Amino acid sequence: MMRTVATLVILLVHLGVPVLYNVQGFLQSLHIVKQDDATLGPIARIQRVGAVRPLAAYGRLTGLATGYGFFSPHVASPFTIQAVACAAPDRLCDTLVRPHWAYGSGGVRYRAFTNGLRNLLPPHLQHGQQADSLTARYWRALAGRMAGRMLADRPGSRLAAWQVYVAALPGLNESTITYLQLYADAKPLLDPEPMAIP
Amino acid sequence: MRNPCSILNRWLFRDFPLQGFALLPRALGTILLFAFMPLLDDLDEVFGVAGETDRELFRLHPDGWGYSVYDATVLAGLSLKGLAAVYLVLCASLMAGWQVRWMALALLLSHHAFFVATPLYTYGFDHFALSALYYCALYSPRWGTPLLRSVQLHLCIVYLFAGLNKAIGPTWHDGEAVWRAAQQSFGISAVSVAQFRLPAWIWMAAGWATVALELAYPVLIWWRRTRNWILSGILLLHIGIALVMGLYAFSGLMMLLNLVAWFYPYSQSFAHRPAGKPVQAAGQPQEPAKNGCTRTPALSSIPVDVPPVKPP
Repeated sequence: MMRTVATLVILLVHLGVPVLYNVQGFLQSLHIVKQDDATLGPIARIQRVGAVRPLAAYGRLTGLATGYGFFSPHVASPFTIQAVACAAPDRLCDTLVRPHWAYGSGGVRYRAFTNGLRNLLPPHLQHGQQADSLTARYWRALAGRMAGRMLADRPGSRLAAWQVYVAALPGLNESTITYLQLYADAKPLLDPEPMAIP
Repeated sequence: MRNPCSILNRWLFRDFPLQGFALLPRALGTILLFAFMPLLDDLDEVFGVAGETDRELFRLHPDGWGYSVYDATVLAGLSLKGLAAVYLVLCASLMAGWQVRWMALALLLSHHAFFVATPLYTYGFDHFALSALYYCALYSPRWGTPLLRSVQLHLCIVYLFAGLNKAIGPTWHDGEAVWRAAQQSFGISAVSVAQFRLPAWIWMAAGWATVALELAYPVLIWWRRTRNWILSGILLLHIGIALVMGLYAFSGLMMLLNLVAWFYPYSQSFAHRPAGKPVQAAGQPQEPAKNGCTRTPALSSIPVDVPPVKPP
């Protein structure tokens, strides 16, 4: 009997961690869909419980402290860091959109990195998860460093300009991608008009 | 009417074929090795060791938690290549089945330090990898069934919340979500479905099918008649995710966990003894317990000539 009860309690505690984080994630999804601030209170309360040190430590180390709502309630638009690399002698410039390691298999990891650029979105697009000023500045600094790193395999080139933008991919009945610039260093690189896809 | 306590006891400690847990560390080591290897050529670039500023910047990540490779290289002065070599050796040890529990624990800490402690490059795969490594580290034949139940319930939670989050998203109802996901390149996708001019109803059907499958999973996977359908459906879903979105490591890991949880324990070909009957075999007297629950006799005491019964 003791063994059964003890095992059950351990199971409940163990699985309670992902349930906690996923209830929070579900409420956040509801907030995004319904635009209802009533969910913000429960979210804050669950966040406080999730931040209790032993629970957070256990969840983080075992990978349980995460939401499983992949690609939901909407599929996120891709963020891009665009860098302009100019070679000094002939002033020829190239536009780069990812570091060389992010082509191929590294692309998935790089995509995970660029997802963090959501912290640069304007407040009305952050759906109650607005990044504080420090976080936004941190991500601007990271994006700038990543733009610089895109030139790693181009000795002699310098970073002339860089920007971060998000591309809203066309829907089923649309034919254009719309871009929203989130940050630019130096000058804007994109035509502000929506670009037609080929 | 059966005592709820004995039902619970049977559910938690029923004898299952646990070959899946023998496969788990080997396959997990292989998946982690192949997921890590593409980064080897550019380790310094990826983890920012090429520039002091970057390492310090990475360490300041607002969601960082625990000891990361950035801490190890900046504070302890360890070599990133050395840490990567340790990671690969741990993967190889898991693949070889050598000291599985300790190697799984060490690889868990190593994977956490590389990818999760500072969540710059973290995605769903990393969290599932940590959970799978944790299950490898916990596994012992004595506690095999409770651990199997834990994996099964964990997967039910995964698909339940994945389905719920999608079910409330309007873009999953009209096919937009599947279409948008198919357009984006995450890794190297083998099939580019976005280039085909498929009618809108196909995207809509794919969206609804995904939601229905994920919501049905936590219920119908327990029922013997529907288990194979749900399992096949979820395996197909992950094959689709791998081929269309290029998320091979993630899909491979999810397929592995599903096979460990739902295929091996219920497959007759892996049953070393009848699995459907409770451990209280026919003709075996139950030992009464003081509190009303019955105690399960030791597995070794169960006669081997119990007639085979289909698992539920």
